Amino acid sequence: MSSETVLSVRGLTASFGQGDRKLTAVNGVSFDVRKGEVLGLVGESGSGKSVTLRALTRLLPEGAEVTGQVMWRGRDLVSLPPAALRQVRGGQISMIFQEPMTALNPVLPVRVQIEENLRAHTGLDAAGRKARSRELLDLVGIPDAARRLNEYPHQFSGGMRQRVMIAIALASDPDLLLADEPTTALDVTIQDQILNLILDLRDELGMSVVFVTHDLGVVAQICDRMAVMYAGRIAEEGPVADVLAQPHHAYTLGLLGSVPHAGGERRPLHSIEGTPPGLAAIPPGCAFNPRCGFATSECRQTLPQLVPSGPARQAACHHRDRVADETTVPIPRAAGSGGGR
Amino acid sequence: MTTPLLTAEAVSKDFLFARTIAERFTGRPARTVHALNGVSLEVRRGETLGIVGESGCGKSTLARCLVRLHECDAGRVTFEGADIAMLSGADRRAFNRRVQMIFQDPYSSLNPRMTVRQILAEALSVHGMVPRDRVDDRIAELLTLVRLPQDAATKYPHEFSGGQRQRIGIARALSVEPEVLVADELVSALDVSVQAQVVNLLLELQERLELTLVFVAHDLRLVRHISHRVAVMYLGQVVEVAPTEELFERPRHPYTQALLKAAPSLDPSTRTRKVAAKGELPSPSNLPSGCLFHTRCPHVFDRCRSDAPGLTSRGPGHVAACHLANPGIEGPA
Repeated sequence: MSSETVLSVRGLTASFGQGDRKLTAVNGVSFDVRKGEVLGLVGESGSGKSVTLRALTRLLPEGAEVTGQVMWRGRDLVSLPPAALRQVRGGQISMIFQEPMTALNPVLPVRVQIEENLRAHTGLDAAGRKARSRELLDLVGIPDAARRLNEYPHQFSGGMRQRVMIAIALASDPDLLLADEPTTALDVTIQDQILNLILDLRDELGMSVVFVTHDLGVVAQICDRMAVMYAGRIAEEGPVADVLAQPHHAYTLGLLGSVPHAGGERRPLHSIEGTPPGLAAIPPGCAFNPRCGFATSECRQTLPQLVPSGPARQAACHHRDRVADETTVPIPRAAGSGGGR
Repeated sequence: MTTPLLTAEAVSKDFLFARTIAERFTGRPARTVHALNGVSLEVRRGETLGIVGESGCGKSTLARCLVRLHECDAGRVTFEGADIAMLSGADRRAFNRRVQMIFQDPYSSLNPRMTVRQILAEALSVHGMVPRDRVDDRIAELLTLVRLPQDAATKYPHEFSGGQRQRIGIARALSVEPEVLVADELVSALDVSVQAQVVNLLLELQERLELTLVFVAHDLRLVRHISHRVAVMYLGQVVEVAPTEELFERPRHPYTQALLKAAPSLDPSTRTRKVAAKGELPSPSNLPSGCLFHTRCPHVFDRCRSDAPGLTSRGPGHVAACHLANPGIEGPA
């Protein structure tokens, strides 16, 4: 906990559309990223985890409104002018995406795509850029780098494409790597290789990583701290081992119960009832209340704040003490709340 | 419980690429993807057989061969001892009814222009399951069975969430009272919390309706959770079959070992920084010689490059295709 904070996010909110049709995908999210740490952002689809990641460097489509504060090296990225932001984006802060095939340009050889980043963010000359691109492909473990530099993305396998994307992201020696489900489209043995590569690079280069995923197993294996998101807010945050061992938020508990564990074969999983709410119909109070067996009238009326709930931990749950004592989420009594089916 | 109901005997399936002009001029044969290379498996009555493997291992092709959505190029699939490729007329229709498939993608496997009632009524009428005046009652029963609200019958697929659509797919398969369900990546497209609901439903229905289940998936945790036995596939071959507990506790094939090790565990104390399997899947149109896994295997020796190992017994109900009797999990010194 002693290492310095490199990124500090306060009250980050991202919304789309106008007036009545305005949808808030991320709502008042706050977290810190420390030097050299891997922070996992976990959640199901629609929880706002990817939008949070993109909002950090304002990589959102036109019409999106980002408010709050993202402090990076003494500057607030939310209010930074576009030209200054472009220096940070892809430079000090790099990003890798889920679908390497759509993130890479299909009509340019990968060498051009790596050198593009080197030209924008380093002072290298043409010869230096060429040498550095080769080094980068070596670094990310692509064999026969000199030849493969001249190949096009379609000539690479899925795992190799993801390595190319990581090479591009690393070209500028970033201090922070934002990873949006980079291994979701890959097979497990290839996922294992890429995750190990990211950790090795973190160690070698001293980067910090924010890693968005829906897979609790990936979080357990590579993250130092985790933040669980639900309906655009952080439900719970803390060191990975502690959170997984004893969740303080009913949603985290339900999510863990939904994943099969060794020893529980062929027995019913402790699933959560219903489905996550749509952005247009987020329930009042705690957004999780219609699916939660711990819910009381307080949960239906008052939004729980993210407050400290143990050493280095925070949770946004009115009943965190009861949750911490339980191993499963009780099924909510059929209330007329109509949250899910 | 132990009689084989559905068996695959040395099933092979190739897919041909369209011949390119260059190939036509030079007289070379068209390129071929060898999706299945001699797969033998049996599915026993009342059990859940899990089939795992990474993309391109042929698990979906095998599932489709089992229900005769693909014809095998070599080998045969039998149902109650009869070769399904030989079935015709009423026998084939009976087979189609008794062995049902549920597909991976709940967005593309339901006709977007049909209401749930039409989707279910079609299945019921094709096989003449119930008299016409009973169709609505049966649809209501089916919706209850998969825990969908009754008003679902009048809605279209786009009005449902992914998990609900998979329930419609399950209801459609169950409408014809099948004995075998072949589920291809049934819950892969769903969120974790919804996955659990569908898995619970499947377990419950299997028990109630005494279904035999072939569960094809890439998620090892899920397969472990619901299967009695598990078959592991690699490049169109079955490399290991064992009772679930045995397979996960004592995997005997180096590929199974790598697969289990690569799957991220929920326990942060089991972290390792050693890569489970080096390299990537070889191209299925240009298969390696000998053992198909030899290009990635940590235990590879000369014989592996020339001789293809067959499935040999490693214990009760446990077979693996490896020249080594008991490859160590950590790899050679």
